[in-house]
Amino acid sequence: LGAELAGNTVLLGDLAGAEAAVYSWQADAATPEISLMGRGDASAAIAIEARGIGKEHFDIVRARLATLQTGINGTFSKARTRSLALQADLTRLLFVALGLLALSVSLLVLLQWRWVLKPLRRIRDAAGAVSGGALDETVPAVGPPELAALGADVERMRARMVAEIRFAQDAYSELHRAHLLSERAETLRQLNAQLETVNAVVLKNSLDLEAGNAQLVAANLELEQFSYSVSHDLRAPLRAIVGFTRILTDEHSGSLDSEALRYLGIVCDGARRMDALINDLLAFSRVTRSNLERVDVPIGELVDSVWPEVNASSPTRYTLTVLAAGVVRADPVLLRQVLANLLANAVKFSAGRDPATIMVECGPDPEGTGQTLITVRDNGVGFDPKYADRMFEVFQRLHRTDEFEGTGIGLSIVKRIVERHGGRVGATATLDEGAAFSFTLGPLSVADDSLRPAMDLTGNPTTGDATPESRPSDRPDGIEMVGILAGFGAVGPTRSGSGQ
Amino acid sequence: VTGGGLLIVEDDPADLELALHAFARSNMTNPIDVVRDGAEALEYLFATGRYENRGSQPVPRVVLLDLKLPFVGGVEVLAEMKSDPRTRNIPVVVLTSSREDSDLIRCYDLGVNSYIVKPVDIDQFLRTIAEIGVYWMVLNERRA
Repeated sequence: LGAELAGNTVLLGDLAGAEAAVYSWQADAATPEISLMGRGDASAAIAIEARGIGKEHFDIVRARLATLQTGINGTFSKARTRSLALQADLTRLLFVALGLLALSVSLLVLLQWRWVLKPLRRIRDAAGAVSGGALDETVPAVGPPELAALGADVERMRARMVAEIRFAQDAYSELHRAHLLSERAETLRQLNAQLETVNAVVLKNSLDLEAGNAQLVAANLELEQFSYSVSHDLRAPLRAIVGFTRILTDEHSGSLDSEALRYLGIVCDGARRMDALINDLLAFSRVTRSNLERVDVPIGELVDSVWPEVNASSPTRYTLTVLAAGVVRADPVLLRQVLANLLANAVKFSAGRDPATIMVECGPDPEGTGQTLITVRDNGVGFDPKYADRMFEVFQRLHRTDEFEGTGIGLSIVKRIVERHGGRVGATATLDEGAAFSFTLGPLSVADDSLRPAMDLTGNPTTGDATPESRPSDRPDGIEMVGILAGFGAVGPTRSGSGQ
Repeated sequence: VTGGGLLIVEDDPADLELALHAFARSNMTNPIDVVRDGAEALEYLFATGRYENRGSQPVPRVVLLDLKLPFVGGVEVLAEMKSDPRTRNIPVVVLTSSREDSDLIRCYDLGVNSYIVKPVDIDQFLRTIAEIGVYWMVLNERRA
C-alpha cells in the first residue's frame, strides 16, 4: 500500500501511524499473549488480556486504520472526481481535435482543390483541347511550382508539337501544291498535246483549204482562159463564115443562083445564132465570176431604164405596169440583167397579143422569208406548167426555134444571179394564157416607198408604130392615177410605162 | 516591106483577108505590111532577125495588133513597144475578139492607143476596119 501511496505524504503518514499502532498492538499485546499461549500459560495470556492492554492498542489501530481509510477514501473520491473531470476534458478535447481535424481536412481539400486540382484541371482542359485539335490552345503554367512546371512542360511539348505539325502541314501543303502544279503541268501538257493535234488538224485543214483555194483559183483561171478561148477562138471562125458568106452574097451574087443564095442565108443565120450562144455563154460565165456589189436599187427606175432596150425591136404595143416598186439591195448591173432577161422574155412571148400586158410586181415574199418577191408577168403564150422546173436550166428551151428565137441561157443567167444574191427563182404559167417569172432578193430597204397607198400610175401608151428613138417621149410624164389596186399585199405606188 | 504605113499583126488568115478586103474596099492606098505572130512583129519593129536589113526604115504610122498570137502574145508585143523609146510613140490599135476586162485593163495600163473588139457582124467589121484606116492613116497627126 505504501508503494501505492507513494507521493501522498498525508496518506503515507496515516499509513505509518496505522502501522505504528499495529506494531504497538503486536508488541504490547499480541506477541506476549501468543508467546504465553505457546508456552501454555493461558492464564498469563488471559491476564494480560484482562488488563485490557490489547483492546487499548487495538482501538488505536482501528482508529488509525479508519483515519487511513477515510484518507484513502477521500483521496480516492478526489481522484475519481478529478478523473471524471479529466475524462470530460479529454472527451471535449477529442471533439475539438476531431473538429479541428475535419476543419483541417476540409481546408486541405479546399486548398488542394484551389491550388492543385484547379490548376491541374486547367492544365488538363488545355491539354484536352490540344489533343482535341485546338492546337493553339496554350497550356497554362499555373498552380504550385510542380504543377506550373508540369504545365510549362506540357506547353513546351504542345508548342513543339504544334511547330512539328505546322512544319508537317507546310511540307504537306508544299507537296500538295507541287502535286497540283505537276497535275496542272500534266493537264497543260495534255492540253498542249491536244492543241498541237488541233493545230495540226487546223494546219492540215488550212493547207487543204489553201490547196482547195489554189484549186479554185486554178479552176477560175482555167475558166477565164476557157471563156477567153471561147470568146476569141470560137468567134474567129464565125467571123470568117459570116464574113465570106457576106462577101459572096455582096460581091459574087451574079454568079450564084437563088438556091445558092438561100443556102448562104441559112449559113449566115446559123453563124449568127452561134454568135448569140457564145455571147450568152460568156455572159453566163461572167455572172458567175463577177463580184457582187450591193447597193440600194430602186426597182421602178431600173425597170424604166431597162424597158426601152428590151422592147425596141418588137412591133407589138405593150402595156407595162409596175406595182409596188420599192428599193432593194442588190448588184445594180446584175439585177439589171435579171430584169432585162425577164422583160425580154415577156416581150418575146407576148408578142402579137393585143393588148400585150406586162406587169412587174414587187412586194414582201408571201412565204415569209423577209425577202422581196419580184414577179414579171405577161399574158403571152405561156408554157406547160409541168416544165416549170426546167425553165431555168442552161440551153433548155420550151419553144421551137422557128417560133421563138433564143439560146435558152437567159433564165439560167437569171437563176445564177438571183442565187448569188441568196434568193430563189420560180415560174408559173398557163399554156396560151401567160407566164409569171418571179425571184426573191434581200428585204426591201427602210427607205422603201411601198408603205404608201397603192395606186396605179398609168402612162399614156402610144399607139401605132413607134421607133425606138421616139420612146423617150413616151415616158409617163402625163402620169395619171387611176385607182387602187386590190389583191396585192403591201402594194405601193405603181408605174406604168408603155412601149411598142 | 516598106514601113511608114500600116502594120497588121494577125495570125488568123480569114481575119487578115477580111481586113485586107475591107481596106481595099475603102480605097486606102497606104502601104500595108503584115506579120503573122508576135515574134515576127518584134523583129519587124526593131529590125532584127528576119527584118535585120530593114535598117532605119520609117516606122509604121500605126500598128493593128491582135492579142492572141503564136510565140509572143499581143500584150507582150505592146509592152515591148511601149517600153522602148524607138517604138513608144507608134500608135497601137488592139484589134481583138476578146472582150475580156482583164485584157482591156492590161492593154490600157501598158499605154495602148485604142482598143477595138472585132465585130462579128461582117458589115460592122468592114466598116470598123475602114474607119480605123481613115482615122489613123489620114486624120491622126503623127508625132514629128
